[in-house]
Amino acid sequence: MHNQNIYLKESYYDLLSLWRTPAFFLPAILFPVVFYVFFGIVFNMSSGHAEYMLVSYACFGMMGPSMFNYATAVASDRAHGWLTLKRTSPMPLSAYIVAKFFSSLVFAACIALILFVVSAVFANVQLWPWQWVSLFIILLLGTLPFALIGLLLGLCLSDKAAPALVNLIYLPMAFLSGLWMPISILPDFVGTIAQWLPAYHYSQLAHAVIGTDQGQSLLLHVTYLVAFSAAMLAVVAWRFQRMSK
Amino acid sequence: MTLSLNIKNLNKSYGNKHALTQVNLQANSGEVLAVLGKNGAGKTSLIQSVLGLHTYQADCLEILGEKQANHTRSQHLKSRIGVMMQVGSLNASLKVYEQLDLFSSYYPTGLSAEKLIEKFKLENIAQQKFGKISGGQRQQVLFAIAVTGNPDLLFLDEPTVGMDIEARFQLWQQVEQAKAVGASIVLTTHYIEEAERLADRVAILSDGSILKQGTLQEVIGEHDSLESAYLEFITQNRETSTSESTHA
Repeated sequence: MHNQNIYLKESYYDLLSLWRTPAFFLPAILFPVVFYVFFGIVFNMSSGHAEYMLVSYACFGMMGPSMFNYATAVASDRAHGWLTLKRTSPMPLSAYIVAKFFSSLVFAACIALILFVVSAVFANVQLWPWQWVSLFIILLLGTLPFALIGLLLGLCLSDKAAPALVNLIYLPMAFLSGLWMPISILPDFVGTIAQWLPAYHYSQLAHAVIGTDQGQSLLLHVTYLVAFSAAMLAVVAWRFQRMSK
Repeated sequence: MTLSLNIKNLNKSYGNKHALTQVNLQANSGEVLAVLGKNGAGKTSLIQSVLGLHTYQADCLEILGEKQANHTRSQHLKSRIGVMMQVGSLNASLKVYEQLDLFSSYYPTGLSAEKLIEKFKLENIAQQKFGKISGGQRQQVLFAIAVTGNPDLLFLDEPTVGMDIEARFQLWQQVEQAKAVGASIVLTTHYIEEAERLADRVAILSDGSILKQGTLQEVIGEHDSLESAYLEFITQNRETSTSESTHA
């Protein structure tokens, strides 16, 4: 009961702190929505285009807060001694990590819901209820590997370097995974690179819900994401150990 | 009087650099142990080793009667220890009340945020964000957080750096109150008058080694004051080091 209270308080205050940082949440929410309005609605080129772009930009939008929240917040907490102080307290370290993941999920859920509403109202996207729900769940659960990338960057980089490096990873990975333009219209080598990127497998799982994926096995995508997350988790654990040297 | 901290032959290195060498140190309950030393003497390394924030080698490290086999500290032990770090900061966008409420939740029998605000007279800043209050006020909030769990052992790493005279005096009174209820306090400082005012026992740390330790009177010995004793020990140590390196 006592530990449960720690997790709840830690999560609540982490979310409150993010909410009071408009420099974080405004771009995180507005970026994917503005991108979708331009490329999914204004430049609607064919039937099914708005649905395709909804999934792509939802993936793009969900990855952002997960990576940025962890990377910048953890790097900043380290730089200012806030994480060290917490490590001396009886707070379980897992409460700190879970709280950050919870905040990322809340922001990711907001982004998904806003995109869903915008797509349904302004682009007349019509999906079956099970598709909306499945898409929502896949989008949320699939943020885990990106949160772990962010956590690792936050543990390794200074608070000034973290946001820059996240952008250096986030934006090219989104492009190379076909989140801005369909992978089918990009050069073949991009498709080859995409197979190694978590964002590609994440988006393919989401696209499979509306039947716009590349047709590969869903098990392949799930296995890749699980294996990638496990590898990241191992590196994060190693990094935590190194912090105590 | 019980031993709350017992350190025997503790060593800490960062790569090839020795931060702490053969440190022996004891602290008793209901006493203030002041660890005196200039910047870079190893005071923070010592506290961080005891808190398990990094690895170290030691023949024995006993905290509140529990022998520590490695640098991992149990949740139970942590709930009996309070810490105020030298470079301590809190989330700038949370209000003082919220910070105290958060930390209070970490301790099973900790003081509530309301109690802490009342105890440390923080009413006028309770609803202000941590990032908006002055340096002295921040130190007071950090001290309140350090005693949230009613600690049996309290570490204060340079607690009054950046404080004005009034705030420093107020914090000294709070340290004396914590000592009066039986807490053992390990205070690192480079302010001699702070050690003279608060300490029952003093240890002088220089270049990672303890040069002298004992009761305040024992350390002062034949000298006029703690300041002159401190300066002599430091000078002697420097001369010994210089002559050893010349011979080498």
